[in-house]
Amino acid sequence: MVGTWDTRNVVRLFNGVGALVMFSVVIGAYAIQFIFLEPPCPLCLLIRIGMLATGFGLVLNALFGPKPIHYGFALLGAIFGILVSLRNIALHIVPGTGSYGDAVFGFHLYTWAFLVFMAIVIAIAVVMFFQRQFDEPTGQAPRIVNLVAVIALAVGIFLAAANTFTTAVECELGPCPDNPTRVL
Amino acid sequence: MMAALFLVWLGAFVAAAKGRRNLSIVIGLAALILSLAMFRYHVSDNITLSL
Repeated sequence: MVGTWDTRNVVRLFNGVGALVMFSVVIGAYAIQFIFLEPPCPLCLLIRIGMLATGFGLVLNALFGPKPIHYGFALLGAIFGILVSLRNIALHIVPGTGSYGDAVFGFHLYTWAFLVFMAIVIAIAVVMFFQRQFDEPTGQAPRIVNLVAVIALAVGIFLAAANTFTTAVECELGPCPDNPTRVL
Repeated sequence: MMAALFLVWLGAFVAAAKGRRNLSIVIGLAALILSLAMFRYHVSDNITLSL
């Protein structure tokens, strides 16, 4: 049976894609870590956590259907990420204080992270305008909606597990070094 | 310590994968609070730290 494209299912798909966007930023950070051999700083790791937290809230929407508590979780994760990335930007905002890592398309990664977090906050606010997503009964969803939700969840699990491993190797049991030298 | 934090997040994702929505939200909220504590730990008045 083919599902219906009602507001609820469209929003579920949007949330699944949004989660994949958040996770793709972490994949990009991994690429820079291993291709350009640039080890992540402690605040960079916390920004990854912000991405995972925001993606987690969006994955819950994609899996279980849109609910205010899921959006609230995603917003808290994004606000956490904004706090961390702003702190990282502020550390280098004074001319002559240098920067951490190389710039990508003119911005450093923590600046890009701040922009991504702001964009997802705005996107969530706009999507929450659509009240029918909370009122409509749970119906048969098109296959692509469930597929994207499962893929987003799998990517989230993989990234959380991968970061657990690579961070354990980089930082061992103590606090992460402020100026890390080990990529892995 | 940071690796343990990622492990808690992994637990939240796994709980969601098992269909335990409420449990995943509880674990996720705990992980978020721990993440805030970790952020506070890495914020220092010394600008040479916490790069």
